[in-house]
Amino acid sequence: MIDEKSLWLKAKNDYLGLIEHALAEVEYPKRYDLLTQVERHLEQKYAELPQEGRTWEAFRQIITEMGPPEDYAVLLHDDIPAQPEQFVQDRHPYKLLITVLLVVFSAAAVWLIINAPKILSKLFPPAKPVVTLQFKSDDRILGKWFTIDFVKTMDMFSPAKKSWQGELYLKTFDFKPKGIVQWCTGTNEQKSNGYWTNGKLDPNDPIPGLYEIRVIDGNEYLFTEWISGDVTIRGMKPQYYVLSRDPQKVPFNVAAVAEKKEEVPTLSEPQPQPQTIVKTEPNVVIPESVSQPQPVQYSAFIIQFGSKGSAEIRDPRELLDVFNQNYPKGVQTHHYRSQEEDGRLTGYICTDNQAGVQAIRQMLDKSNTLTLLNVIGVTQAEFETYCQSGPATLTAIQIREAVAEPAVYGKWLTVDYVRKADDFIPGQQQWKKKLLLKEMQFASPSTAYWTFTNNVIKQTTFGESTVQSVNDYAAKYFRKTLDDQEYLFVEWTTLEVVEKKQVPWVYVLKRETVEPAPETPVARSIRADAIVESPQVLGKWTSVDFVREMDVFVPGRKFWQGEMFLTGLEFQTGRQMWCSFNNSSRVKHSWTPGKVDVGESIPALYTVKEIDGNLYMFFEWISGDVTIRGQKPCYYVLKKTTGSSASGSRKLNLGILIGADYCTMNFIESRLGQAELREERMLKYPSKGVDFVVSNSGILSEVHYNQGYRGQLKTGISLTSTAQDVFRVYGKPAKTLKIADLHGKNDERILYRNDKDMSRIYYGKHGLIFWFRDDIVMQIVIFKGEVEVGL
Amino acid sequence: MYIENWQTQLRKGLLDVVIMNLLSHGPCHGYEMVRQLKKIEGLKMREGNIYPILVRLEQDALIKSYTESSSDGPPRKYFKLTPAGKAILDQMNTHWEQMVGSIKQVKQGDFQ
Repeated sequence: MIDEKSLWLKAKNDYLGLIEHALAEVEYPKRYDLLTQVERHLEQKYAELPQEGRTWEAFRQIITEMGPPEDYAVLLHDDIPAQPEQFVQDRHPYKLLITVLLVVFSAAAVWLIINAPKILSKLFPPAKPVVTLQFKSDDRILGKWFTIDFVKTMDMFSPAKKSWQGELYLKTFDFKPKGIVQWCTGTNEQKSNGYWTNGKLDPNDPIPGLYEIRVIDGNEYLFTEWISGDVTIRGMKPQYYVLSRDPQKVPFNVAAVAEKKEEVPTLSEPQPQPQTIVKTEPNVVIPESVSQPQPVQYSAFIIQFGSKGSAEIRDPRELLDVFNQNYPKGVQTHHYRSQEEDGRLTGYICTDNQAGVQAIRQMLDKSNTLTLLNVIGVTQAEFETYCQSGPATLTAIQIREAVAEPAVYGKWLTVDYVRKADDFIPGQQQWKKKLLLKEMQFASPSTAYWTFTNNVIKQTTFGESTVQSVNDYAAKYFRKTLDDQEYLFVEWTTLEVVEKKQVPWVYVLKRETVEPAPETPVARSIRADAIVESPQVLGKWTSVDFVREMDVFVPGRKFWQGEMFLTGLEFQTGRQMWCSFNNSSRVKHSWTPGKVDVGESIPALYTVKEIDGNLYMFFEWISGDVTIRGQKPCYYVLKKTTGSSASGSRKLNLGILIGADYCTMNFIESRLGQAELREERMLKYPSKGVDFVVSNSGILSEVHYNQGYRGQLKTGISLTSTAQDVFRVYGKPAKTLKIADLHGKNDERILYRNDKDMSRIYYGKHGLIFWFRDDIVMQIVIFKGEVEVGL
Repeated sequence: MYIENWQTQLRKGLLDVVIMNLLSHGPCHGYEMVRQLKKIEGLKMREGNIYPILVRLEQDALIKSYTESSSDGPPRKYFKLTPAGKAILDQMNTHWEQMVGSIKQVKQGDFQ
C-alpha cells in the first residue's frame, strides 16, 4: 500500500513541478496560491478513489483530466484585448460577427506566436510528458538485488575481482510488480521509490537508466546504469552498478569492504580544487607496506561544556539555550546530550565539522556563562555508540582532547617531497618535479592552512603531532633541526595511502617564521583588477541549485537532484572569500568584482541577479571539464542568506499588535494604506509581502510574512534565513516527521516535512510558525505580540 | 483537427463567463465548481483549468476568496462574486446573448 501512495505522490509532485515550471514567470504569491489549490484538488481526487482503485492507471487518469501544465500559464494570462464598444453597436450583424471572430482568432494566433517560444523556453529542458509510463513487466528482475560492485563498463566486471574499492553508495534494489522499485542508498540505507519498466529504470526521466541482466559463471548479475550529473550535464557515458541476488555468492567479501570508510562514488558531484591537487600529486610508485599504523580518522568531535561562574545552570534545556545564544554561525552540530557529572550539569554537543570545533572553542572561550570542558575526537563506531547510548558511554572512550602545540606555530615553506624523512638532505632537493604544496601555516590554537602552488588554501586542524589532511585523514608531522635550520616533516596522507595501507610520502618544509600565523592568510594570487568592493556581494550565500545555464534556474524548483558539493560562499571585505563544501571543508580564494580567482587557469565568473525580491548568485564551476576539455562551465546557484538584502530594508513600528482590541482591519489600513487585496478576514499587501488575518471578532490574529517581505524579526530571522538559523535562534526541532499535508500541524518544535522539499515548524512559545522550502524560510506566520513591517 | 482547435479556443474564451455565472448562484470552492461543471455536457473542461482562471478573476477583483474550515481536510478556499464582478457578468451575459443572436441571424441569412 505504501508503494501506491509513493507512486501517487510522485505522479502528483511531477505534475505540480511541471505546472510550477510553466508558471515560472508568475510572481510568487500568485503561483503559490495556484499550486496550493491544484494540490488540494489532486489530494481530494486521490482521497475519493476507492482503496482497490488506487492504481497507476487511475493516477494517470486523474492527471490527464487536470489538463496539460502549460494550460495554466495560458489561462492565467490576462492580455485578451478588450472589444471596442462600436462592435456591439454595429448595425450589420454579419460584419460584427466576422470582425469579432477575426479579432478573436487574430489575437489568439498572435498571442500563441508571441508566447510559443516563451512557453517552450519555460519548459526547457524539454518537459517530460506528465505520465508516459507504458509499463512492461520483466519477471527476471523481480525481487531484491544487492550491490556488489561499480564498474566503468559491463565488460569490466569480474566476479573474481572487485573493481570499486570505495564504499558502494547504492546498496540494494527491490523490484516489485506493477513497475515500482525501491532502493537503498548511503550508509544509513535511506529508502527511495521509483519506477521501472522492461529494460529501464525511471523511464519518465529525460535519460532513463538502462539495465541488463547477465549470467556469469552460472550466476545472475544485474547491471544498472548510474545516471549522474556526468551523464546528464557533461554528456559522459554512464557507469554501472553491479548487483547480485545473493552477495554471499561472489568471491570478494562485500560486507568487509562496506565497513571501510572510503570515498562514496558520487560521480555526479563536481569536485573542488583540492581534490584535483590530490589526484595530480607526484606520480610515483609508493612501496607497499603495512609497517606504519593506519592514521586515525575522527568522524566527529564531541564538545563537552558546562556553566561558568556562580550562576550555575541546572536545567539541560537552559544550558542548550545559552549555548545557542552565542552559537557560531555556519557550524553544524547535532546530538545534544547532557548529564550530571560530579554534581554539575554537563552538556555534550557533536560536530563533524572540524573547523567548527575551533569556532565553538572560541565562542566558549569568550563566553561569560559557559566554559569548555573537553573536546573528544571519536571514530564512527564511537560516535554511533554516543548517539545511541548518550554521554555515559564516553567514559569507555579514549579521551583525545585536541592539545594546542605552540611550538609548531608559524609559517613553513616547502623544500622537498621525499619517500621517507631520512631521505631528506638539506640543500639537495630529491623531488625534481613541481612541488604542489607551497607552504603551511600553523595558527593559534590549532588551525592549519595548506597553501598550494595554485594558491588554493585549505584550512584544517592540528594537534598531538597530527594534522588533518586535505582529504580529512590524519597526517603525522614532526619537527627536526638539521644544520641549524628547523624543518617540519608532514605526511602526505591521501585516500590511496589509507586504502592500500601504504607508507605516505613526506613533505619537508623549512621554517619561515616563528610568530603565530595570522588567522586567515590571504591567497597570494593578486590580480591587477581594480578592487571595488560591492556591498551587494558581501555576505553569505547558500547553494540552492546547480544548472547548465543561468536561464534554467527557477526559484523554488531544484533541477540538480544530486548532493551539492559546494554548499556556500562567503564574500568578505579585503577581497577574500571562502568556499564551503559538503565535506565540511572550506577553501579560501580572492575575489574581485565579477570574478573569483579559484587558482585555476581561468577565474570563476559570477553574476548576481534579483529574482522575486531575492538575490541569487550564479557562480561558474571551474572543473576539469572546463579547464582541460574546454567545456562551458555550469553554474552553482546560491541564494543570499546574510549581508545586505536585495534592496535594503527599514523597519517601521506601526503599533500593530496581534490580539489588541483596536487592531482591526480598518486600523491596519489606516497605518499601512488601503490593502492591495481584501478578503473578508484578510488584508493582503503583496508588494510588501505581508498579509494580515483577523479573527471572527475582527481583531488581528495572524500576520504572514511572504516572499517579497524585506524586513526581519527582532532576532534577525528573515525570509532569507536558513532553517539552521531559525533552529539556532528558536531551538532545534524536538523531532522531524514526514507528512503529506503540512497544514495545521501545531505541535511545539516538531519539524514536519513533506516530499516536496517543504517543511514547517511551530514555536508556540514565540508565537511563530516557519515554513521552509529547501530549508530556506519561505513564510513566517506570527500569531503573538507586536509586529514590525519592513517597507 | 480544425474543429477541435476551434472548440478548444472557444471553451477557453468562455470559461471566465461560465465560472462567473456559476458563482452568481452563491459562493463555491474550486473542487465543487469542477464537480458542477463536469456535469454539463459540452463544456468538456479540464479540471485544472479552473484554478488559473480563479486566480486571474480574483486579481481583477471580479471575485474574492475567503477560507473556511473543512470537515474532510485542510481549510477550503471559497470564491464569490464581488459587486464589480456582478456588474461585469451582467455585461458579459448581455454580450453573449447578442453574440448568440448574431450567429443565429447569420445562420438564417437575415442580413437586414
